[in-house]
Amino acid sequence: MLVSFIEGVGSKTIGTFSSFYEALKFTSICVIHMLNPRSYNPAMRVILTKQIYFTAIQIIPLFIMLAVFFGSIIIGVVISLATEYKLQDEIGSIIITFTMDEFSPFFTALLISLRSGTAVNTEIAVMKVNKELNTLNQYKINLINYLFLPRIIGGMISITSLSILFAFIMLMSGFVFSMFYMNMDFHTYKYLLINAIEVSDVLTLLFKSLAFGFVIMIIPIYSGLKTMQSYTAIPISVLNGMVKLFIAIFLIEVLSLLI
Amino acid sequence: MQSFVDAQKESILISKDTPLISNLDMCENISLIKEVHHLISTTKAKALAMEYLKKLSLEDIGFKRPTQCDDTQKFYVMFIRALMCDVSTVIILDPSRLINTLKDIKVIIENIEVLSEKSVIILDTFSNKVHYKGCLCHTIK
Repeated sequence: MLVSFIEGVGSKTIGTFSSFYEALKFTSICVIHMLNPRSYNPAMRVILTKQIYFTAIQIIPLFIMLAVFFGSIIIGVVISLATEYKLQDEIGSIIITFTMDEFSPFFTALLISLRSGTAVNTEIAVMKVNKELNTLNQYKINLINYLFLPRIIGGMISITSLSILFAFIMLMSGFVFSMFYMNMDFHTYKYLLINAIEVSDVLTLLFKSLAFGFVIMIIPIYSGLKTMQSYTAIPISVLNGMVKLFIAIFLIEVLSLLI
Repeated sequence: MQSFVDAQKESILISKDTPLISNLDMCENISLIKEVHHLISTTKAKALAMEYLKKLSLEDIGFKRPTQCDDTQKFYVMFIRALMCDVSTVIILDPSRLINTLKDIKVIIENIEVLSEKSVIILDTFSNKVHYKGCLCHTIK
């Protein structure tokens, strides 16, 4: 009884570590390909353009609506709390830190992972089940260069640009609330933000968005690749991929707080 | 059949296991090979693909996805895609499984001759012998 329990724990641990090692290996291979200029061919560039269009451009109207709605509510709460606790002097750095370092990249990552992460996971899983990946292998088309890199790079570019857009909309909403709560005019608000913003805030926004973009694409791709050869395995693959993706997003968020 | 296919170097296989890519249109399925292996621009590669489709009067399916086309059209696109590779031989495995409605393979062979100067090997089972009646191609049992 005890032996079988220990065996069970051991085999689960080995399984977890070996799958983690495999995922890490896949990630490093993708990074190596990303840095190699020979990975970039005309077909890859077409897919990259399409990917940026689907991930960043197509979503813009909905994204702006959500950014105005959620961004205004959140920034409103932050400003009203800051006023309540007599933190008006620190309002500039509170708005900048909250908007640029935390909320914009995180919210964008959640939104894009729900929209594009699931799409990419399903797409790769369907291609695997339909033997389309086999076709690409037969025709000696590198899966990483043609299929995965455009999605990863597209995701990184899209999430970074959408995060910047989200931060901009949130800062604009911040002005509306500061006008009502503190009777602040636009020039005062603008100088408050300019004085509060630091290079580290911009770098945090960029690096966090790039990291989110990377995991939002690579985890669904890897999950799609691991799909079994049956249509019923596709929803399971998407489900597993999304759970792992959300864990990774929260992990990045926690890590960024620690750094 | 598989051992024969494996033994053929410098060849490309057309079979049920090498379907068309469903998120690309027919033209893109063909042009992809040239774009990746010869680094030809997308516009030029697509023009070349269209040229081949025109030879079979299939230019109207160029911008359609595989799900919008019938088996015969898909087969021709798969064949043209194979011609884009730098290989001397194209192997077609079990055409009756690729084209469910296939009755007479003569038309297919005639169109293959129009398209290709490469050597084409069709591998089929003995039970499908009836489809090849009257064909001028060499038959090896």
